[in-house]
Amino acid sequence: MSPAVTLMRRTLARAVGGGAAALHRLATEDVAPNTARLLRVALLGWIGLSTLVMLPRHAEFFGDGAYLVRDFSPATPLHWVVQLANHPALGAWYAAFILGQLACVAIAMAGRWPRLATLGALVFTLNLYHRCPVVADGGSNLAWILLGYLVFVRERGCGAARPGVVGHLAVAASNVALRLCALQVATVYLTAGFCKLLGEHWQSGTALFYILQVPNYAHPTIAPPLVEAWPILMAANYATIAFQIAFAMFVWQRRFRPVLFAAGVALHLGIAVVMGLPAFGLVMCLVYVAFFPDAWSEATLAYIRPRGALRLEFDPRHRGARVIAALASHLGAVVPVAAVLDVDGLRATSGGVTARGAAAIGPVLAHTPVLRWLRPLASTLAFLGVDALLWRHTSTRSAPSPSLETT
Amino acid sequence: MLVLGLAGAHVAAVASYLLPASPATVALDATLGWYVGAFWSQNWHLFSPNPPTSGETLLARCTTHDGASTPWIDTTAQGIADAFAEPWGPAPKLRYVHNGVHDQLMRRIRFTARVLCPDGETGDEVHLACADAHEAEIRGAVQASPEFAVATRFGRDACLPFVDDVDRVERLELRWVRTHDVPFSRRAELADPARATRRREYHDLPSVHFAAREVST
Repeated sequence: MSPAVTLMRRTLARAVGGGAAALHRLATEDVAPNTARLLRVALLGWIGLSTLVMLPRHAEFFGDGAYLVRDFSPATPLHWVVQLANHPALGAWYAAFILGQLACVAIAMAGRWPRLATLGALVFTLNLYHRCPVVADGGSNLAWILLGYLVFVRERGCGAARPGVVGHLAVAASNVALRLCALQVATVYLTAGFCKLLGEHWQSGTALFYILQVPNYAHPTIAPPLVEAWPILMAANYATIAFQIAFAMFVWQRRFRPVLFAAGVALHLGIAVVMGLPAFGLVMCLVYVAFFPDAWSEATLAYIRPRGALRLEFDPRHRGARVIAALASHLGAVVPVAAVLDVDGLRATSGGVTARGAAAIGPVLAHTPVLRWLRPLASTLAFLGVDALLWRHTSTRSAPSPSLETT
Repeated sequence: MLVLGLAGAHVAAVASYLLPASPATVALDATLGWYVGAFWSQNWHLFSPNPPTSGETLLARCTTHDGASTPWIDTTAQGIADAFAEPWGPAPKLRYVHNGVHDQLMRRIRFTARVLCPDGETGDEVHLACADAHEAEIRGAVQASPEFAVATRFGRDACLPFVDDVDRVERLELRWVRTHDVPFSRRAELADPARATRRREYHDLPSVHFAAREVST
């Protein structure tokens, strides 16, 4: 047998063996559980934030008197699921869809039932977007598509898969869905880049010159001088096309990712500020997480992990408050604490389990009637770890990390 | 292998949806449209192939029962200014709503004109006066549309800073304006805003009369 044939046989055998090993790993092991977790947190955080910024004017977006609320017109069975908020009998209850969405977002971000909660968040989100379709932009479109994939994705903390075929299918679906998230992001850039190549204004380098004259996409202060500095816009025009195509082609190689991510953040930051599209710019930066190696995601998650527990004070005399506290206790980062103020509000008794670091500000406010309204703020500061910092500066006791104690 | 096969079919379906139109993609869309359109529909043209080269807006002018008129009010200008001033508040999304009112009305007008006018006379442009015989029909159809009702409410609300109470409005006039960008060949004019002349197109839409406390068109 000639050496060439032998070499070919060995190469083929190695390729087949490698492919079989990769397939086996695909069906038996979560390849990037931390990346799955981080991507879910990022996307759901963005979805929640998008809704929260609309809350002050919610009636103008979703209320029955809003200008552009869509009629209920289910054409397919799926529409019955995602257009429920448009149903005449449910339209007045649109706030329930907002609350449902925010609750599902919080539960999934806390790491409880992540796939189920993601599905819930997706359904509520689609209902809100179908109720007022004009509030959904490209960023929303990308976010809900990726959430659709994340419904199948297992993440860190999901535990071992079930043994047998069902478990293997679940793990394989999870790994493939996570890859599809990355492919979807690359598709966005590839489509946008090649479509630009077909346009005469993009070819001639004048596209941004024209866009920045349209009031809808032109920052009133920044755009006019930029339009006069047309050579800069021409360079940015070609750089945009080059980046979008290069991203889709080279992001699959790990060594190019830092450069591509930095260029992408710069591009989307520019779009956010100059063209007034901050939500789109933010979500495009967040979806780069889909390309993070698992070690990067693990380090990022360790960095952003809350250092304490959210100390949620509630009045145990009220049944509703007790129910909310019981539900909240299922979220890992929330510790309900019973706090009863006596009649004159001068003294408070607390019960339950709390974090040492979170105990610094709350009691001070509880003992000071005029400051009681600040207690939710105290909880938030405790959640962010600010009160632990104050505690360290006002006490000789060191509190290196929150530890549990009974008060 | 089963999961990979399903994922491959899914990717092929979405790719066919995103590819430039051709007889093959049209045929695929007819077959797979129910699947992609249900949830996975997407559009990533992002200002391509050609970006907008003009801005469109809706002007409103109200006349009260005592005969006083407001100036022509740009119904979207304040929303745009707010969106840039408060990018992390609700203003950018409210801008989408205000633009949506205007865009949907324009779509209705274009659709009506395309249906009622002879072929080749309308294209994608708003062309209310495409033919004398059809102008009245187009205006009537537009006036009866739900989009016009929304635009009427929106236009009347835009007058609120000038009239205190929208119920005082007796007549509402709406005017669609398209402002073209300064072409690149005349870019030197941009250095001096007084010299920069932007071509504008105006189209008056059917005006609306309101009885006291009741709306009638």
